[in-house]
Amino acid sequence: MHNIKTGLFFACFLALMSARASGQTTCHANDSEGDHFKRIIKAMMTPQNAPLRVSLGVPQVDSTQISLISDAVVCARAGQALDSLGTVWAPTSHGPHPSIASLYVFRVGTSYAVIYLNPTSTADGDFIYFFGSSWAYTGASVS
Amino acid sequence: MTFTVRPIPVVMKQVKANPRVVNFSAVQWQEVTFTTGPDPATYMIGGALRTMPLITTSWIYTAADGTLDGNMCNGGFPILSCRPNLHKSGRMVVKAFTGGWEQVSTITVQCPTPGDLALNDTINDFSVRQELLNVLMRSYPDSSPEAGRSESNPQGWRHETGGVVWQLPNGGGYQFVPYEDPTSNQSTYHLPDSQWGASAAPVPGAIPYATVHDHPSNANDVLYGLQGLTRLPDSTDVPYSRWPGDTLPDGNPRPVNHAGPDDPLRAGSDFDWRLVERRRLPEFVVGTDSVGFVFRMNVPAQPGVRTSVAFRKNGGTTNERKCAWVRKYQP
Repeated sequence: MHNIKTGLFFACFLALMSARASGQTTCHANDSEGDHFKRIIKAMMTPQNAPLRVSLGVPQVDSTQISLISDAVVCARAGQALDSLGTVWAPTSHGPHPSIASLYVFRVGTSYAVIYLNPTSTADGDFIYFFGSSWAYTGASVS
Repeated sequence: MTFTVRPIPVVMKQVKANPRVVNFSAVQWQEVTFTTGPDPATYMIGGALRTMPLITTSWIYTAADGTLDGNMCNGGFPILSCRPNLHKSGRMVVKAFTGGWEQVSTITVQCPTPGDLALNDTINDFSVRQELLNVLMRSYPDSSPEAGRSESNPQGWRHETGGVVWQLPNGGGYQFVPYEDPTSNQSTYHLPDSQWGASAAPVPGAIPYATVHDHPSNANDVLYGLQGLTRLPDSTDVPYSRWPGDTLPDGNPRPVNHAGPDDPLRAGSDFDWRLVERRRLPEFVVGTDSVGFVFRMNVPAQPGVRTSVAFRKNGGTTNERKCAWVRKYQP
Protein backbone atom coordinates (compact mmCIF):
# COMPACT_ATOMS: atom_id res chain seq x y z
CA MET A 1 0.00 0.00 0.00
CA HIS A 2 2.80 2.31 0.92
CA ASN A 3 4.46 1.58 -2.43
CA ILE A 4 1.25 2.35 -4.28
CA LYS A 5 0.90 5.71 -2.49
CA THR A 6 4.50 6.54 -3.19
CA GLY A 7 4.03 5.58 -6.83
CA LEU A 8 0.91 7.72 -7.13
CA PHE A 9 2.70 10.64 -5.54
CA PHE A 10 5.53 10.49 -8.03
CA ALA A 11 3.12 9.94 -10.93
CA CYS A 12 1.19 13.06 -9.91
CA PHE A 13 4.42 14.97 -9.45
CA LEU A 14 5.66 14.01 -12.89
CA ALA A 15 2.30 14.80 -14.43
CA LEU A 16 2.29 18.20 -12.80
CA MET A 17 5.82 18.88 -13.91
CA SER A 18 4.96 17.73 -17.40
CA ALA A 19 1.91 19.97 -17.52
CA ARG A 20 3.96 22.81 -16.20
CA ALA A 21 6.55 22.10 -18.86
CA SER A 22 4.16 21.92 -21.78
CA GLY A 23 1.62 24.52 -20.65
CA GLN A 24 3.88 27.27 -19.48
CA THR A 25 7.21 28.27 -20.87
CA THR A 26 7.68 26.67 -24.27
CA CYS A 27 10.41 26.21 -26.84
CA HIS A 28 10.41 28.71 -29.67
CA ALA A 29 10.53 26.95 -33.01
CA ASN A 30 13.55 27.62 -35.15
CA ASP A 31 13.21 30.55 -37.53
CA SER A 32 15.37 33.36 -38.88
CA GLU A 33 15.66 34.79 -35.35
CA GLY A 34 16.91 31.45 -34.10
CA ASP A 35 19.49 31.36 -36.89
CA HIS A 36 20.48 34.93 -35.99
CA PHE A 37 21.08 34.07 -32.33
CA LYS A 38 22.95 30.91 -33.25
CA ARG A 39 25.37 32.98 -35.36
CA ILE A 40 25.91 35.35 -32.44
CA ILE A 41 26.68 32.47 -30.07
CA LYS A 42 29.04 31.02 -32.67
CA ALA A 43 30.74 34.42 -32.96
CA MET A 44 31.43 34.22 -29.23
CA MET A 45 33.68 31.24 -29.91
CA THR A 46 36.12 33.26 -32.01
CA PRO A 47 39.47 34.15 -30.40
CA GLN A 48 38.71 37.89 -30.33
CA ASN A 49 35.59 37.24 -28.25
CA ALA A 50 37.35 34.97 -25.76
CA PRO A 51 37.38 37.66 -23.02
CA LEU A 52 33.60 38.06 -23.31
CA ARG A 53 33.04 34.32 -23.36
CA VAL A 54 35.19 33.83 -20.27
CA SER A 55 33.54 36.69 -18.38
CA LEU A 56 30.13 35.15 -19.07
CA GLY A 57 31.25 31.67 -18.07
CA VAL A 58 30.48 30.23 -21.49
CA PRO A 59 32.55 27.19 -22.47
CA GLN A 60 34.62 27.12 -25.62
CA VAL A 61 32.88 24.69 -27.95
CA ASP A 62 32.84 24.03 -31.65
CA SER A 63 29.84 24.95 -33.73
CA THR A 64 28.43 21.41 -33.73
CA GLN A 65 27.89 21.73 -29.99
CA ILE A 66 25.62 24.78 -30.37
CA SER A 67 22.05 23.74 -31.05
CA LEU A 68 18.54 25.05 -30.56
CA ILE A 69 16.64 22.90 -28.08
CA SER A 70 13.12 21.66 -28.79
CA ASP A 71 12.72 19.57 -25.63
CA ALA A 72 9.75 21.06 -23.75
CA VAL A 73 11.08 19.97 -20.37
CA VAL A 74 14.38 21.74 -20.92
CA CYS A 75 12.62 24.91 -22.12
CA ALA A 76 10.36 24.85 -19.07
CA ARG A 77 13.46 24.57 -16.94
CA ALA A 78 14.92 27.56 -18.79
CA GLY A 79 11.76 29.51 -17.99
CA GLN A 80 12.09 28.60 -14.32
CA ALA A 81 15.71 29.74 -14.39
CA LEU A 82 14.70 33.11 -15.83
CA ASP A 83 11.92 33.37 -13.25
CA SER A 84 14.42 32.76 -10.51
CA LEU A 85 16.40 35.74 -11.78
CA GLY A 86 13.26 37.83 -11.46
CA THR A 87 12.81 36.61 -7.90
CA VAL A 88 16.34 37.60 -6.99
CA TRP A 89 16.36 40.89 -8.83
CA ALA A 90 12.85 42.08 -8.01
CA PRO A 91 11.55 40.06 -5.08
CA THR A 92 8.37 42.10 -4.71
CA SER A 93 7.48 43.31 -8.19
CA HIS A 94 7.89 40.37 -10.53
CA GLY A 95 4.96 38.60 -12.10
CA PRO A 96 3.50 35.18 -11.37
CA HIS A 97 5.72 32.14 -11.62
CA PRO A 98 6.09 30.18 -13.74
CA SER A 99 5.72 32.71 -16.49
CA ILE A 100 4.22 31.99 -19.88
CA ALA A 101 6.58 32.64 -22.73
CA SER A 102 8.24 31.14 -25.75
CA LEU A 103 12.00 30.95 -25.42
CA TYR A 104 14.91 30.30 -27.72
CA VAL A 105 17.01 27.87 -25.68
CA PHE A 106 20.39 26.80 -27.00
CA ARG A 107 22.64 24.10 -25.73
CA VAL A 108 26.20 25.41 -25.74
CA GLY A 109 28.31 22.41 -24.88
CA THR A 110 27.20 21.68 -21.32
CA SER A 111 25.81 25.20 -20.80
CA TYR A 112 22.67 26.95 -21.96
CA ALA A 113 21.84 30.23 -23.67
CA VAL A 114 18.29 31.55 -23.30
CA ILE A 115 16.66 34.35 -25.28
CA TYR A 116 13.25 35.86 -24.64
CA LEU A 117 11.95 38.35 -27.20
CA ASN A 118 9.59 40.57 -25.30
CA PRO A 119 7.35 42.44 -27.73
CA THR A 120 7.39 45.48 -25.46
CA SER A 121 11.16 45.73 -25.24
CA THR A 122 12.68 48.96 -26.46
CA ALA A 123 16.28 47.89 -25.97
CA ASP A 124 18.63 48.37 -28.87
CA GLY A 125 19.84 44.83 -28.45
CA ASP A 126 18.52 41.43 -27.48
CA PHE A 127 19.51 39.85 -24.19
CA ILE A 128 21.13 36.43 -24.18
CA TYR A 129 21.16 34.90 -20.69
CA PHE A 130 23.74 32.21 -20.02
CA PHE A 131 23.41 29.38 -17.53
CA GLY A 132 25.76 26.61 -16.50
CA SER A 133 25.01 22.91 -16.74
CA SER A 134 23.03 22.99 -13.47
CA TRP A 135 21.19 26.16 -14.53
CA ALA A 136 23.23 28.53 -12.39
CA TYR A 137 23.16 31.98 -13.99
CA THR A 138 26.59 32.96 -15.29
CA GLY A 139 25.92 36.22 -17.11
CA ALA A 140 24.18 38.00 -19.97
CA SER A 141 25.16 39.85 -23.08
CA VAL A 142 23.32 42.14 -25.47
CA SER A 143 23.63 41.77 -29.24
CA MET B 1 48.61 110.76 -52.92
CA THR B 2 45.63 108.71 -51.95
CA PHE B 3 44.82 105.08 -52.62
CA THR B 4 41.45 103.47 -52.76
CA VAL B 5 41.58 99.86 -51.68
CA ARG B 6 38.70 97.67 -52.73
CA PRO B 7 38.50 93.95 -52.01
CA ILE B 8 38.13 91.83 -55.11
CA PRO B 9 35.45 89.22 -54.44
CA VAL B 10 37.33 86.29 -55.90
CA VAL B 11 36.94 82.88 -54.38
CA MET B 12 38.63 79.61 -55.07
CA LYS B 13 36.60 77.25 -57.26
CA GLN B 14 35.50 74.02 -55.68
CA VAL B 15 38.32 71.60 -56.47
CA LYS B 16 37.23 68.85 -58.85
CA ALA B 17 38.54 65.33 -59.30
CA ASN B 18 38.52 63.18 -62.38
CA PRO B 19 37.76 60.31 -62.00
CA ARG B 20 35.58 60.73 -58.93
CA VAL B 21 35.16 57.05 -58.12
CA VAL B 22 38.01 54.55 -58.24
CA ASN B 23 37.96 50.94 -57.11
CA PHE B 24 41.35 51.06 -55.43
CA SER B 25 41.01 47.47 -54.26
CA ALA B 26 41.14 46.36 -57.89
CA VAL B 27 43.93 48.60 -59.25
CA GLN B 28 47.49 49.23 -58.11
CA TRP B 29 47.16 52.93 -58.69
CA GLN B 30 45.05 55.45 -60.57
CA GLU B 31 46.04 58.80 -61.97
CA VAL B 32 43.51 61.37 -60.80
CA THR B 33 43.36 64.96 -62.06
CA PHE B 34 42.46 67.62 -59.52
CA THR B 35 41.65 71.11 -60.78
CA THR B 36 40.66 74.41 -59.30
CA GLY B 37 40.86 78.08 -60.28
CA PRO B 38 39.62 81.57 -59.44
CA ASP B 39 35.94 82.34 -59.52
CA PRO B 40 35.30 84.58 -61.38
CA ALA B 41 38.25 83.90 -63.65
CA THR B 42 38.26 87.53 -64.83
CA TYR B 43 37.15 90.81 -63.28
CA MET B 44 36.54 94.27 -64.64
CA ILE B 45 38.93 96.66 -62.97
CA GLY B 46 39.30 100.25 -64.12
CA GLY B 47 37.42 99.48 -67.30
CA ALA B 48 39.70 96.59 -68.26
CA LEU B 49 38.96 92.89 -67.97
CA ARG B 50 41.72 91.39 -65.92
CA THR B 51 42.57 87.76 -65.23
CA MET B 52 42.33 86.97 -61.54
CA PRO B 53 45.44 85.44 -60.10
CA LEU B 54 45.25 82.35 -57.94
CA ILE B 55 48.38 80.95 -56.39
CA THR B 56 48.07 77.39 -55.18
CA THR B 57 50.18 76.76 -52.11
CA SER B 58 49.63 73.06 -51.37
CA TRP B 59 47.98 69.92 -52.77
CA ILE B 60 47.86 67.54 -49.84
CA TYR B 61 46.23 64.13 -50.22
CA THR B 62 45.46 62.17 -47.08
CA ALA B 63 44.44 58.54 -47.49
CA ALA B 64 41.40 57.45 -45.50
CA ASP B 65 43.48 54.96 -43.55
CA GLY B 66 45.89 57.75 -42.68
CA THR B 67 48.89 56.18 -44.40
CA LEU B 68 49.43 58.61 -47.27
CA ASP B 69 49.76 62.19 -46.24
CA GLY B 70 51.78 64.52 -48.33
CA ASN B 71 52.06 67.32 -50.80
CA MET B 72 51.37 65.77 -54.19
CA CYS B 73 52.25 68.71 -56.44
CA ASN B 74 54.20 71.91 -56.38
CA GLY B 75 52.10 74.99 -55.92
CA GLY B 76 52.54 78.42 -57.44
CA PHE B 77 51.11 80.48 -60.26
CA PRO B 78 49.46 79.62 -62.57
CA ILE B 79 49.33 75.99 -61.41
CA LEU B 80 45.66 75.04 -61.22
CA SER B 81 45.84 71.28 -61.53
CA CYS B 82 47.58 68.31 -60.00
CA ARG B 83 47.70 64.74 -61.32
CA PRO B 84 49.00 62.33 -58.70
CA ASN B 85 48.92 58.55 -58.92
CA LEU B 86 46.69 57.50 -56.04
CA HIS B 87 46.70 54.11 -54.34
CA LYS B 88 43.93 54.54 -51.79
CA SER B 89 40.72 56.42 -51.13
CA GLY B 90 41.29 59.76 -49.48
CA ARG B 91 40.84 63.48 -49.48
CA MET B 92 42.68 66.12 -51.49
CA VAL B 93 43.01 69.43 -49.66
CA VAL B 94 44.05 72.30 -51.88
CA LYS B 95 45.10 75.62 -50.46
CA ALA B 96 45.47 78.72 -52.57
CA PHE B 97 45.93 82.45 -52.25
CA THR B 98 43.44 84.54 -54.13
CA GLY B 99 41.23 87.54 -53.52
CA GLY B 100 43.60 88.64 -50.80
CA TRP B 101 43.47 85.68 -48.46
CA GLU B 102 44.28 81.97 -48.28
CA GLN B 103 41.38 79.74 -49.21
CA VAL B 104 40.83 76.02 -48.97
CA SER B 105 38.85 73.54 -51.02
CA THR B 106 38.68 69.78 -50.62
CA ILE B 107 37.30 66.76 -52.44
CA THR B 108 37.42 63.04 -51.86
CA VAL B 109 38.16 60.16 -54.21
CA GLN B 110 36.50 56.99 -53.02
CA CYS B 111 35.65 53.45 -54.02
CA PRO B 112 32.18 52.45 -55.13
CA THR B 113 30.02 50.82 -52.46
CA PRO B 114 27.60 48.68 -54.46
CA GLY B 115 24.08 48.38 -53.20
CA ASP B 116 23.11 51.76 -51.84
CA LEU B 117 22.51 54.99 -53.72
CA ALA B 118 22.96 57.29 -50.72
CA LEU B 119 26.39 55.84 -49.98
CA ASN B 120 27.50 56.57 -53.56
CA ASP B 121 26.31 60.15 -53.75
CA THR B 122 29.07 61.91 -55.68
CA ILE B 123 26.92 65.02 -56.09
CA ASN B 124 27.53 65.78 -52.43
CA ASP B 125 31.01 64.26 -52.28
CA PHE B 126 29.91 61.10 -50.44
CA SER B 127 28.58 63.24 -47.60
CA VAL B 128 26.39 60.45 -46.22
CA ARG B 129 29.46 58.25 -45.71
CA GLN B 130 31.31 60.93 -43.80
CA GLU B 131 28.24 61.81 -41.76
CA LEU B 132 27.75 58.18 -40.77
CA LEU B 133 31.37 58.07 -39.64
CA ASN B 134 30.73 61.27 -37.75
CA VAL B 135 27.71 59.74 -36.00
CA LEU B 136 30.11 57.32 -34.37
CA MET B 137 32.50 60.13 -33.44
CA ARG B 138 29.66 61.98 -31.70
CA SER B 139 29.03 58.88 -29.60
CA TYR B 140 32.49 59.04 -28.02
CA PRO B 141 33.38 55.39 -28.62
CA ASP B 142 36.87 56.14 -27.34
CA SER B 143 35.52 57.03 -23.88
CA SER B 144 35.27 54.29 -21.30
CA PRO B 145 31.74 53.09 -20.50
CA GLU B 146 32.12 54.64 -17.05
CA ALA B 147 33.33 58.07 -18.18
CA GLY B 148 30.93 60.84 -17.23
CA ARG B 149 28.23 58.35 -16.22
CA SER B 150 26.55 58.67 -12.85
CA GLU B 151 23.11 58.76 -11.25
CA SER B 152 22.83 62.44 -12.15
CA ASN B 153 24.04 61.83 -15.73
CA PRO B 154 23.10 58.30 -16.81
CA GLN B 155 23.77 59.15 -20.45
CA GLY B 156 27.52 59.36 -19.88
CA TRP B 157 30.00 60.30 -22.54
CA ARG B 158 29.58 57.17 -24.60
CA HIS B 159 26.01 56.97 -25.84
CA GLU B 160 24.20 56.16 -29.04
CA THR B 161 23.22 58.85 -31.47
CA GLY B 162 21.85 59.00 -35.00
CA GLY B 163 19.54 60.87 -37.33
CA VAL B 164 17.85 60.68 -40.71
CA VAL B 165 19.18 60.43 -44.28
CA TRP B 166 17.02 62.45 -46.66
CA GLN B 167 16.72 62.14 -50.40
CA LEU B 168 16.81 65.63 -51.81
CA PRO B 169 14.43 66.73 -54.57
CA ASN B 170 15.34 67.23 -58.22
CA GLY B 171 18.20 64.75 -58.19
CA GLY B 172 20.05 66.72 -55.55
CA GLY B 173 21.52 63.66 -53.89
CA TYR B 174 21.23 62.85 -50.21
CA GLN B 175 21.65 64.71 -46.96
CA PHE B 176 22.03 63.48 -43.39
CA VAL B 177 20.35 65.39 -40.57
CA PRO B 178 21.57 64.43 -37.10
CA TYR B 179 19.31 63.99 -34.10
CA GLU B 180 20.65 63.74 -30.56
CA ASP B 181 18.33 61.81 -28.25
CA PRO B 182 18.76 63.38 -24.80
CA THR B 183 17.71 60.11 -23.17
CA SER B 184 19.96 57.79 -25.16
CA ASN B 185 22.58 55.67 -23.50
CA GLN B 186 25.02 52.97 -24.50
CA SER B 187 22.35 50.73 -25.97
CA THR B 188 19.25 52.78 -26.60
CA TYR B 189 18.42 55.52 -29.06
CA HIS B 190 14.96 56.82 -29.76
CA LEU B 191 14.23 58.84 -32.87
CA PRO B 192 10.88 60.63 -32.62
CA ASP B 193 8.60 60.16 -35.60
CA SER B 194 8.54 63.93 -36.00
CA GLN B 195 12.21 63.79 -37.01
CA TRP B 196 11.45 61.93 -40.22
CA GLY B 197 8.10 63.53 -40.94
CA ALA B 198 7.61 65.97 -43.82
CA SER B 199 7.90 68.96 -41.49
CA ALA B 200 11.44 67.92 -40.58
CA ALA B 201 12.65 67.84 -44.20
CA PRO B 202 15.86 69.86 -44.60
CA VAL B 203 14.48 71.38 -47.82
CA PRO B 204 10.94 71.32 -49.20
CA GLY B 205 10.30 68.18 -51.17
CA ALA B 206 12.95 66.06 -49.51
CA ILE B 207 11.78 62.59 -48.51
CA PRO B 208 13.17 60.38 -45.75
CA TYR B 209 15.48 57.71 -47.16
CA ALA B 210 16.71 55.93 -44.04
CA THR B 211 17.08 56.33 -40.32
CA VAL B 212 20.40 55.96 -38.54
CA HIS B 213 21.79 55.00 -35.16
CA ASP B 214 25.10 53.64 -34.03
CA HIS B 215 26.52 51.02 -31.70
CA PRO B 216 29.48 52.66 -30.00
CA SER B 217 30.43 49.68 -27.81
CA ASN B 218 32.57 46.67 -28.64
CA ALA B 219 31.96 43.10 -27.57
CA ASN B 220 32.72 42.59 -23.89
CA ASP B 221 32.36 46.28 -23.04
CA VAL B 222 30.17 46.89 -20.01
CA LEU B 223 26.77 48.26 -21.01
CA TYR B 224 25.05 50.66 -18.66
CA GLY B 225 21.55 51.99 -18.70
CA LEU B 226 19.23 49.23 -19.79
CA GLN B 227 16.68 49.02 -17.01
CA GLY B 228 13.06 49.38 -17.96
CA LEU B 229 13.73 48.64 -21.60
CA THR B 230 13.46 44.89 -21.63
CA ARG B 231 11.79 42.34 -19.45
CA LEU B 232 11.98 38.80 -18.29
CA PRO B 233 9.01 36.57 -19.10
CA ASP B 234 7.68 37.12 -15.57
CA SER B 235 7.51 40.88 -16.32
CA THR B 236 10.51 41.74 -14.20
CA ASP B 237 12.41 44.67 -15.64
CA VAL B 238 15.95 43.52 -16.15
CA PRO B 239 17.72 45.61 -13.52
CA TYR B 240 21.17 45.94 -15.04
CA SER B 241 23.47 48.65 -13.79
CA ARG B 242 22.63 52.09 -15.10
CA TRP B 243 25.84 53.67 -13.90
CA PRO B 244 28.92 52.53 -12.03
CA GLY B 245 28.06 51.53 -8.48
CA ASP B 246 24.32 51.23 -9.17
CA THR B 247 22.46 49.12 -6.59
CA LEU B 248 19.27 47.14 -6.19
CA PRO B 249 16.65 48.35 -3.67
CA ASP B 250 18.14 45.96 -1.13
CA GLY B 251 21.50 47.66 -1.48
CA ASN B 252 23.19 44.85 -3.36
CA PRO B 253 25.02 45.69 -6.57
CA ARG B 254 23.00 45.44 -9.74
CA PRO B 255 24.25 42.87 -12.22
CA VAL B 256 26.55 44.20 -14.90
CA ASN B 257 25.72 43.55 -18.50
CA HIS B 258 28.10 43.22 -21.46
CA ALA B 259 27.91 43.95 -25.15
CA GLY B 260 27.88 40.81 -27.23
CA PRO B 261 29.31 40.21 -30.68
CA ASP B 262 27.49 41.16 -33.85
CA ASP B 263 25.82 38.70 -36.15
CA PRO B 264 28.01 38.86 -39.27
CA LEU B 265 24.96 38.38 -41.49
CA ARG B 266 22.29 40.51 -39.83
CA ALA B 267 22.17 43.61 -37.71
CA GLY B 268 19.66 45.00 -35.28
CA SER B 269 17.63 43.93 -32.29
CA ASP B 270 14.04 42.74 -32.39
CA PHE B 271 13.02 46.26 -31.34
CA ASP B 272 15.07 47.79 -34.16
CA TRP B 273 13.35 45.53 -36.64
CA ARG B 274 9.93 46.41 -35.34
CA LEU B 275 10.81 50.07 -35.95
CA VAL B 276 11.98 49.35 -39.50
CA GLU B 277 8.77 47.48 -40.19
CA ARG B 278 6.61 50.25 -38.74
CA ARG B 279 8.43 53.16 -40.38
CA ARG B 280 8.91 51.35 -43.70
CA LEU B 281 12.35 52.92 -43.82
CA PRO B 282 15.68 51.11 -43.82
CA GLU B 283 17.97 51.75 -40.87
CA PHE B 284 21.72 52.26 -41.02
CA VAL B 285 23.51 50.90 -37.96
CA VAL B 286 27.04 52.24 -37.60
CA GLY B 287 29.43 49.84 -35.90
CA THR B 288 32.68 50.68 -34.16
CA ASP B 289 35.97 50.80 -36.03
CA SER B 290 36.73 47.36 -34.57
CA VAL B 291 33.59 46.05 -36.21
CA GLY B 292 34.40 47.96 -39.41
CA PHE B 293 30.93 47.91 -40.94
CA VAL B 294 27.86 50.03 -41.44
CA PHE B 295 24.87 47.73 -41.62
CA ARG B 296 21.68 48.57 -43.45
CA MET B 297 18.57 46.86 -42.15
CA ASN B 298 16.30 46.45 -45.15
CA VAL B 299 12.56 47.00 -45.04
CA PRO B 300 11.14 43.46 -45.10
CA ALA B 301 9.43 42.61 -48.35
CA GLN B 302 7.12 40.40 -46.31
CA PRO B 303 6.64 40.17 -42.54
CA GLY B 304 9.40 38.35 -40.73
CA VAL B 305 11.89 38.32 -43.59
CA ARG B 306 14.66 40.31 -41.99
CA THR B 307 17.75 40.93 -44.10
CA SER B 308 20.59 43.38 -43.81
CA VAL B 309 23.60 44.42 -45.83
CA ALA B 310 27.06 45.05 -44.38
CA PHE B 311 29.05 47.88 -45.95
CA ARG B 312 32.76 47.92 -45.14
CA LYS B 313 33.67 51.36 -43.82
CA ASN B 314 37.15 50.65 -42.48
CA GLY B 315 39.49 47.79 -41.65
CA GLY B 316 39.34 44.39 -43.31
CA THR B 317 41.89 42.95 -45.71
CA THR B 318 44.71 44.94 -47.25
CA ASN B 319 42.61 45.55 -50.36
CA GLU B 320 39.53 46.44 -48.35
CA ARG B 321 41.50 48.97 -46.33
CA LYS B 322 42.38 50.76 -49.59
CA CYS B 323 38.68 51.57 -49.84
CA ALA B 324 38.12 52.94 -46.35
CA TRP B 325 35.48 55.65 -46.18
CA VAL B 326 36.82 59.19 -45.85
CA ARG B 327 36.10 61.17 -42.71
CA LYS B 328 34.86 64.73 -42.54
CA TYR B 329 37.44 67.42 -43.24
CA GLN B 330 38.86 68.89 -40.08
CA PRO B 331 40.59 72.21 -40.86
